[in-house]
Amino acid sequence: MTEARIEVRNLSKVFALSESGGRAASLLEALRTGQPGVNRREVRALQDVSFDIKHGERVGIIGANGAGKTTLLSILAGLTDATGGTMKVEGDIHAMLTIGDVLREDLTGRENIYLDASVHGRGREDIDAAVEEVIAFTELGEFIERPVLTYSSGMKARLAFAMGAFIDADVLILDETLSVGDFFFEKKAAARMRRIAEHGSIVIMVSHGLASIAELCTRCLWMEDGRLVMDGDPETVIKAYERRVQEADEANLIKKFGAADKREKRIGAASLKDVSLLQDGTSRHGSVMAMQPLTITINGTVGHSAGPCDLVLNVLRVDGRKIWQQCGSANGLRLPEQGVFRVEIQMDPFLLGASLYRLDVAVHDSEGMCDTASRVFEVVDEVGQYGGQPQLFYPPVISVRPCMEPGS
Amino acid sequence: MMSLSFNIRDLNMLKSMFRLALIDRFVGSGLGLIWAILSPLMLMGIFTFVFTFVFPNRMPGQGGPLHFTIWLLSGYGPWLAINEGIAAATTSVTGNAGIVKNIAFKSEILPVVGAMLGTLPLLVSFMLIVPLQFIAGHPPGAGYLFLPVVILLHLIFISGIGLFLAALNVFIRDTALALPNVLTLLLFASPIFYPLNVYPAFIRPLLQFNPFYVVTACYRAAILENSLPPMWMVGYLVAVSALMFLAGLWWFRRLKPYFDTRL
Repeated sequence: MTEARIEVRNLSKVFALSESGGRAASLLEALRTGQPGVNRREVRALQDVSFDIKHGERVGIIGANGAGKTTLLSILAGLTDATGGTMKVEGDIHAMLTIGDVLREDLTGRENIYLDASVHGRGREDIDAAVEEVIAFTELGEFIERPVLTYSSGMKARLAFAMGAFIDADVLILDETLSVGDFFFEKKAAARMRRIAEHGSIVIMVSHGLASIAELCTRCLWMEDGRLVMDGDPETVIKAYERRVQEADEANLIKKFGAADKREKRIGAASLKDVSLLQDGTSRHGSVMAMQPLTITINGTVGHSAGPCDLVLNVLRVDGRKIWQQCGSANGLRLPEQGVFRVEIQMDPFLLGASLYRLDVAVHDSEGMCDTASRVFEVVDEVGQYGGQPQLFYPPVISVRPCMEPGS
Repeated sequence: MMSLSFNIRDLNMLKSMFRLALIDRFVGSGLGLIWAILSPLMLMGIFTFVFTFVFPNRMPGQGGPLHFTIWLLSGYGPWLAINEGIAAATTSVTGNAGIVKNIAFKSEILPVVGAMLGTLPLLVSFMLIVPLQFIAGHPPGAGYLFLPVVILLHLIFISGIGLFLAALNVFIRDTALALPNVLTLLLFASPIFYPLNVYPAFIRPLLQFNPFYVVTACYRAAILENSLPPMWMVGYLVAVSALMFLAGLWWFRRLKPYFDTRL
């Protein structure tokens, strides 16, 4: 077996669009390309992507929809040509981008296996040698001799996966195919994937299931807007990616609440540096878990304030209803007369119901508001409640236990 | 000179895709492969009836309806092959969008497979012609030995047209819809149902260069006259098929990079 290897340098892909409107390029536009003076509108699906994949690596590709993952796979699989850059592949490639393209409903499962393998360029003897193993893997039993149109969708998926996974390619390319079939088959498919990769060939997969990437892959590429953002071990890359997704979520949520407080700020008097939400020892962005203690940490500075400063906390629900409001001073909180401060607020038990909230923190002195900061978060109730959606999960008893550490 | 750049792997793919096309075409319908025989049989029956009994004038092949039937089938069978081949080739890329987008292979193969599908009605027509020739007392002769060459040239020619139309149909889906009308027009504009000499004398020199006519004339010469077709015809057909195929291939490859945005 040859050493499989992939080398990608500055790969780019541009999709030509019609000169007017958002449609794909028309016949005339396609024919005129390459001629000087032709202006084209285009979509850059892939920009300047470079990486190497060595023998035995299982590479997962993650990223939001439209990040260029599938385009990258299509180019690697030889389905489309890149418009720029070079790609060198050593070894046989087999791509499973969608399953069941060759699946013919009127043929039996066994006939389909032969058909699929022949379309993928396998000889009759090769198929004969592998067919029983494929059939055993599909667990279809007697159904293998029946027409595919009698199959359930899960059975079809199993057949299609097995047909693809038993083609001995040096480089196997998968797009979302693991998310098919029932739970047990998924386990089996995952095990099969691992075996293929352990045989020394290369596996490249795209999935939105971060868990399956973390479990299966030895390396992870994170794509965004057609660029490679990060390339490293799955754990690190997935953590960074999740953080980015949460931040993007929060930015979206903030938009839902509309414009923030427009009152003039007097940052010279007192200012807030940041407000962070902590749950389970990790910083949360966008969402927090229901019914788990939440810690709010507020960092700020008191400058030349007029009189003693005070913190005002407000929790607003997305429909505009004020859920809770508290002053720090009412709970015995004293901010320093000057200098940095750090305030921790424990919400234990944390009892906000599943909804979208905005936490507004404001620092006041005797002349009024000095600075504000807001966080938007969604309370996610993973357990689920019976009998409607309660606003609060516990009797509304909130104990605020401020503690203050001078300096930080 | 453009390199054709096909290899042995593409040949295997051609076989697999041909099998797949046959399955798509016939498996699943109740009578299955019977339709492959039945529909050309019916068409040939209709036209034989019409031109033997309804308009029995100016028939070549003196010697009664049987000879005329053989004459008619020897031209109409190849035409059915052309008709079927062009129609199948035109929709070959759009109809197999899933395969084109998900399996790495040269999609140029698909129109060629379409053209090859035309050999089915051709086969059926031979299943009629040969027994009829025995009944008429003129059993098939040495002319049949030249048939493979004619079939090959025919397939190359139709593949060329198919490559052109298949790529066009990706961009302009009306192509496949307009095609049946164009083909009917072409059929009656070509001397297939009637001999060349029924046309006005001034147009004959022009009409005999109609490549569709030349293809059917080559078939007829091999089947009926036990002789080679006129050498100019063979030469002309070689030139036209090669040119058509190369032009079609160039056109197809030019448009291929844009397929993925249109399928």
